[in-house]
Amino acid sequence: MRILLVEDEKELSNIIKKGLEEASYNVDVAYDGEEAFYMAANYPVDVVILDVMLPKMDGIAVLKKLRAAKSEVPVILLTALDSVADKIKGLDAGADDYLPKPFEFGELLARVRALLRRKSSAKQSVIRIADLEIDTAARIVRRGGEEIALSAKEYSILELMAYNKDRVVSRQAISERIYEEDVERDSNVVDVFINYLRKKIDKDREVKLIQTVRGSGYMLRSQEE
Amino acid sequence: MIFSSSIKSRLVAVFLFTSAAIYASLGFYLYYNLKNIAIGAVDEHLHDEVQLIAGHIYGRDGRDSLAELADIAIGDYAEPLSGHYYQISDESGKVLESSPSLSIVGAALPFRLPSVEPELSFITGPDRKPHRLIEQRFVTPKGKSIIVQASESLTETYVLLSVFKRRTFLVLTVVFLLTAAAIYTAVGYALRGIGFFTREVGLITEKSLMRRIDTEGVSDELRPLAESFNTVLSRLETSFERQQRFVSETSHELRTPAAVIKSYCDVTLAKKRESAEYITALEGISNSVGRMSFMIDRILEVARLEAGILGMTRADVRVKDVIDDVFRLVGQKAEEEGVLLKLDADDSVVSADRERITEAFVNLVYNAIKYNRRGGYVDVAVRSDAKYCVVTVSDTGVGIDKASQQKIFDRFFRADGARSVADGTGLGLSIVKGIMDAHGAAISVESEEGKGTTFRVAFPRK
Repeated sequence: MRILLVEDEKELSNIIKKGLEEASYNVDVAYDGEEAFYMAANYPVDVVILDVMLPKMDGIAVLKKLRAAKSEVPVILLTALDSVADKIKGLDAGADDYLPKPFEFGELLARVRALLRRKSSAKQSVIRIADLEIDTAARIVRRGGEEIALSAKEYSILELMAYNKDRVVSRQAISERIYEEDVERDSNVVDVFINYLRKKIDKDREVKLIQTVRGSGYMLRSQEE
Repeated sequence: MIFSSSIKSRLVAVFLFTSAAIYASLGFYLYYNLKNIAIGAVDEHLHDEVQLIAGHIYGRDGRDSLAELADIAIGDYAEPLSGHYYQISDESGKVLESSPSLSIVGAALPFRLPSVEPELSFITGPDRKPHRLIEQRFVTPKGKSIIVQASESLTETYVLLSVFKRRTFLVLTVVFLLTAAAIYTAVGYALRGIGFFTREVGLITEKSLMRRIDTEGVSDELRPLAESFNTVLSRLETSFERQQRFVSETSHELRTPAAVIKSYCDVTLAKKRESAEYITALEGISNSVGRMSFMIDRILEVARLEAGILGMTRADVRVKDVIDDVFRLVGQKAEEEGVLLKLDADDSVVSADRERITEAFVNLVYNAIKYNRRGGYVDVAVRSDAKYCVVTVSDTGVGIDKASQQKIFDRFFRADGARSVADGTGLGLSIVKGIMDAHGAAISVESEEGKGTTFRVAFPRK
């Protein structure tokens, strides 16, 4: 999953980025309002974490401009202003959530997961597809009760497909979400990772969950056709 | 309670005392007037009687004749001890004739030798009751003195007066009570403005400082008070708002480094790490703590400046010496940034706290270096005229846009360009302004984007 972090305090954005990456998210960082709007509008981000006090254009303005441009990307406002009036202002401008600084990092992660679920059919942090269980909070994957060890990239791809279960996820979408913007992408790499995932998840199983949709991409299927 | 500190009870007491005095005087005045009139009427009557008696004595033919007195010895004069008496005596006090009311019971009026003018006096009559006595001496054509006395009982008059006294007292008491009630009501009515005022003021709490007393609703006398009160409220509200804004701005500014520290801790503790990672995290935390405590120091300084509790020791200071110190303090930074420091100063002396203005100019010059370009310069000039000593600090930096120039001395304001510089607190220039304000010096800024910025400080000359 890909997160756009907008925070002008370098030290804070560095550590939040690190924490998010360790939670297997792919993180882009913007340092001012204009950059934030450009990236949110043009990159395939799943969640925006947006600071309010920003140079050039403040977070509320960025948010309003995004909503005016019909973007539905979930946005968490991150701000040092914690009055009720500020919260109302932020939520009315189109924010999905609001987190005052300083915050518990675990809470930020939980809120990000909640927003990711909102887009998908999943309602809990544990997503179940047949006998496959993906605990998005603990980042643990089980099949038939048996824990499966995955690398960070493998987990990211599986989580992306799990949030979009029974829907086709294109190679490009996968690639965009596991690599940063400036990395040279190669869709073959996606196939390679899918292969690894199949070996770990579907090998020696009667029901194959990861399906190839010819010409489109991949899909995690919860039931037999 | 009458002598309590209540305006109402004091007013009522004063009014009651005054009206009691007025009514009492009125009562006494009426009583004594009536008494005089009543006694006067008795006197007049007695006087007439004496003239009548004397007339009878002289008779129509001028002979002395007491016989004709029988004509008048009728009515009250005929009743024994009726309270109406007359008596005619000669010079020696020998009673020649007296009214039957006296003679029947063998009583007599007290005798003394009066003048030829009628003389009036109060006596106790033969019936042991108060009497009015008139006595006059007449001289007969034969040169003989005849003393005519007449007296009348005052009992009835006194009864009348006492009835009048009782009634007047009763009426005046009732009038006094009515007055008292009216006064009480009137004073209460007059003072209800104070009650209104008190209620209005009572409604104002620290949460409703925006409330004002309706000056139209109070009486003319209380309006100046209400207006002063509103002025005080406005001042309070402003200072309250300033305090609240300061608290909210301060907490806002401290939350960001707090968030950095918290995030470092949470992210680092999320799993087991290499010691190098712990070191990086601790360094990050240490930086943030450093920044936080630097900010706290500055916040406290701003708070002290705003509260006006900054202890200042003013002395004559040569501005050139101050700028020399400043250049020594920031020299290394200037060298690192490749910025040249230039000073063109006259020998002006101002009255200032040397340490404080040094701090202020360090801030100005440090900013001029920080936001400068490599190879640029900072130009400090000191010039004086009769009224002001003007110090200008000019740089060749990025400049400040017009909108930011307006807010540059505000607490925590940082222009976009300045926000990206990690060590800024947004407090430097508000501290500079606070220090200059404390010296009565005016500070202003002029800037052109891309060309540079000039800060101008004008100290008043002694």
